[in-house]
Amino acid sequence: MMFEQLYTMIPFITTFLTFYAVYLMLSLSLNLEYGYGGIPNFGHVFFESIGAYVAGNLTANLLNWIVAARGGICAYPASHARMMFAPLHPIWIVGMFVFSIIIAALVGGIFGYLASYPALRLKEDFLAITLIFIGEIGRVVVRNERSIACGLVGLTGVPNPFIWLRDPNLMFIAYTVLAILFAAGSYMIIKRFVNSPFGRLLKSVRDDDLVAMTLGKHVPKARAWALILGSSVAAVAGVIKVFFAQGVFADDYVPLITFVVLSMVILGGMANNKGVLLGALVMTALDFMISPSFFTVFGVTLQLNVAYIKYIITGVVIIAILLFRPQGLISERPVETPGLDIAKRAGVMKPTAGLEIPAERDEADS
Amino acid sequence: MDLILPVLNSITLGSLFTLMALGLTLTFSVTRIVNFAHAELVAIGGYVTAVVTNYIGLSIYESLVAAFVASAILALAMDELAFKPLYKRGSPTLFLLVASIGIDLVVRFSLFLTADATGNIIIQTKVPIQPLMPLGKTYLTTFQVVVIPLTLAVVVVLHALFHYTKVGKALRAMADNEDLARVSGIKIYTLRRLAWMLVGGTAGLAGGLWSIYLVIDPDFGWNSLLRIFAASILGGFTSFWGTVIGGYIIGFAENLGIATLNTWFGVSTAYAPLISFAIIVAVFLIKPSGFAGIDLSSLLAKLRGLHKNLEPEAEG
Amino acid sequence: MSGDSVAIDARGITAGYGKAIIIEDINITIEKGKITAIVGPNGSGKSTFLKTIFGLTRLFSGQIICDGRDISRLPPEERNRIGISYVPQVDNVFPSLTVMENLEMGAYARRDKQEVKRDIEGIMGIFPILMERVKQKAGTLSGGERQMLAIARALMSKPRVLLLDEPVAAVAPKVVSKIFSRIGEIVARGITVILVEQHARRALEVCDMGYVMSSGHVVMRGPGRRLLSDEKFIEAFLGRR
Repeated sequence: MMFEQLYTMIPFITTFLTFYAVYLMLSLSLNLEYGYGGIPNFGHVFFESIGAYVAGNLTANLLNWIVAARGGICAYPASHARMMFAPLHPIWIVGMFVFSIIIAALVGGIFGYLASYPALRLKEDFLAITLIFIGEIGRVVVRNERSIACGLVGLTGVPNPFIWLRDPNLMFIAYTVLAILFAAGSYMIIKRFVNSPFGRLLKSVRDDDLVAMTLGKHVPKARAWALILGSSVAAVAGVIKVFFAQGVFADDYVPLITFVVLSMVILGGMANNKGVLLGALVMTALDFMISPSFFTVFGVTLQLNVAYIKYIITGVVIIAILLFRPQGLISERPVETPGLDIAKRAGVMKPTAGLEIPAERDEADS
Repeated sequence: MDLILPVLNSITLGSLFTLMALGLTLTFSVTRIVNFAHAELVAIGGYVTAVVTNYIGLSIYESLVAAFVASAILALAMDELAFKPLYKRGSPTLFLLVASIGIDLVVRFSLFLTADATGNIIIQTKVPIQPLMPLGKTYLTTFQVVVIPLTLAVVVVLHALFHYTKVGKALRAMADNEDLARVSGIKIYTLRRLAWMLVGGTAGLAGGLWSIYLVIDPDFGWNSLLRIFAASILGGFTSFWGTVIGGYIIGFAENLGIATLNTWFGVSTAYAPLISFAIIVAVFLIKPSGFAGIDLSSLLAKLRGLHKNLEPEAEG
Repeated sequence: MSGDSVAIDARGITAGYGKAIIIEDINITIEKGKITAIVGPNGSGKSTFLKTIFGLTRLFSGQIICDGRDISRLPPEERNRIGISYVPQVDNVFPSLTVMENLEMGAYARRDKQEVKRDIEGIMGIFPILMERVKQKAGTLSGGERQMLAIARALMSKPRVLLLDEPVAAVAPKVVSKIFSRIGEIVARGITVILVEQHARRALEVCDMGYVMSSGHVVMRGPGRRLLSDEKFIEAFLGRR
């Protein structure tokens, strides 16, 4: 009985966990750039979409070539042929997945490096403007350039790498485990980076521009690396989502996605990866709870479009956290260095927040 | 190629862009906030105009006044509830930008929710646009006859306000140096409220005019934001007249510009937003002060000196 | 000292920015109609003290009494209305406003339009150079002209107390004496002046009462001339010659 119920929940649970893993990779990488590095990469969705397009386009084209499908990647027969081919050739499709990850990570990193050109030159709010609109522009281009992801219609027929397991539940479970492994891997890599000398440099620059100037040439390098790593992780997150959805749709990649990810970072606490784990969990849960299918589980049918409520709450979360708890749910902690460890053991230093909350400007109003 | 129609359309669109962008420029000048929620001031203006005309049955002019007032109140509410508390706490500018994104989400999707629930997810103000007089192969319409002079009137009134009234001069003073304005006895929070009402009002008016011109949906403010930013940034982001020029340039670029690229190079008109984006990036990387930073006299001097020899660059 | 002769009494002022304390437990009494100089090395907290009088810093503790009234919690714009005026060291004019507009902004809180007009003419009499530049933007003025405009702007609010933060720091040497003589004229009109100067000798020569600050504290006080001849002061701040 119990087991049976759990079994029927598998699609729901695995979908939730996969989305959590994807959001986690996105929010951790944004936290690296914005929280630690102070680089407001609010065009994060653009870097995610790069991974998605690379994975979708590459896989579809290569499989098309193998199955000798005609009519290009967008044609329905070709898409159908790809989905038929994949279950019979596990090695090919797993290989395609791995290949997509590698290429997407590389291409994402390259775009991150390109983004470091304006990032090192513009004032931060101007940079934020530019990057937010990059997210929008990317979509405009892909919608009109059919060769990338079939324009408005979107690209389908990108088989799940575990499609050969035949049982859809088994496939979901296997893919979810894989997604979580990627998220965990991203967590470890980003943690290593922020605790490295580069990471500490990033934070010191974020806190004080003057320090940046005196430290000289390593600063641009550190910021560029943060963008390269962050964009690379975001692109890989894009790949994970594509193989899960088994398709790519340009209109899925709107600046709104960045803002949801941003709300996760702000909610969890900037420059705090553990906080982001929590922030992403809360916002992903919200995403799932405020959905028509979730309500129908409880026998409730909603008349209105609940997606709107989701975004209203996202906005409220952003404003409320900035107003009432700017440090997020969990405050920033000092970077873990050997020195800190010694200091902690000796009781010299309390591990308190590094991000200082600015004091009141003035109490009086007129 | 018959140029009258595209030129007329460019001027009409340019007027609308200008009207939308003036508020964004004023916001940044006075409060140093990069306000992404500016889009929603436009959207609310559009919806208020359409609803008041279509459902309540007031005249279009009364509806536009209603849009002005509604967006002004919304702008004021944004500041009082979110921006001002954050500002008083000494939040960095980037925090204010992020807050504006939060505000944008709340307003935009509240509008979506309401519009959807009442069956108005798309709407257009029911005012017939009529041809007035022939102009080459095309006609001058009632819409153009209202929009273009109305925009110019707003520009003139604002210019007069900023230069010939004490309060307007104080607003400019505040934009220059807020602390100095305070020590001069200028009540900055009162002026801030005035500024926000002007910002909201002009944006609402622009939104109302859009809703006559085109069918709108709750996303239309957000979708116009790239052009609004481009117009404002091209003008230097803090310059009043720069924004006016910027608005008309974007109007021409998105209309005549893309049409030219389309006929000569086969560029799809769907790429029109790329022009605005390219303008933003180019201005930021080459001359962040936009038009406002171009000093005409030194530019002329430089041109004159060009064939003599290279001079050290004089920054305006 | 009788209460009537005190313009501003700063009692136990501790202030700074954010969480940082810059000046601590400052007691300074400003007498009416006199020049009070505050001198000290760079970073000693002189400017912070002036800003605190005007409410532009964070006041941790202490009181600022003006004419028997505690103004510690008053916003800056209200302090202007009770007759205090302030000339910051830098950024002390509105660069994109014309000279005339700058003067008008100085008189922002005043309602007596006719008299403002007359006062502008009067100010032009004191600073004739401004007359020639009335329609010019303040941002295009030279350092000395800008400083004169800043003082003129501050005078437009008809202050009883004028705070001057290093008025000659950024001006050409030959303008320095000009500005100092203007300050003399201002005091002669019955306005109390608080003068912050890094150049101690110059300030102490013209002042009635001098305070010496160092690392956020008042370390010496006394009539200007007496401080100038004080052995300890000379050794510590002027250097032996």
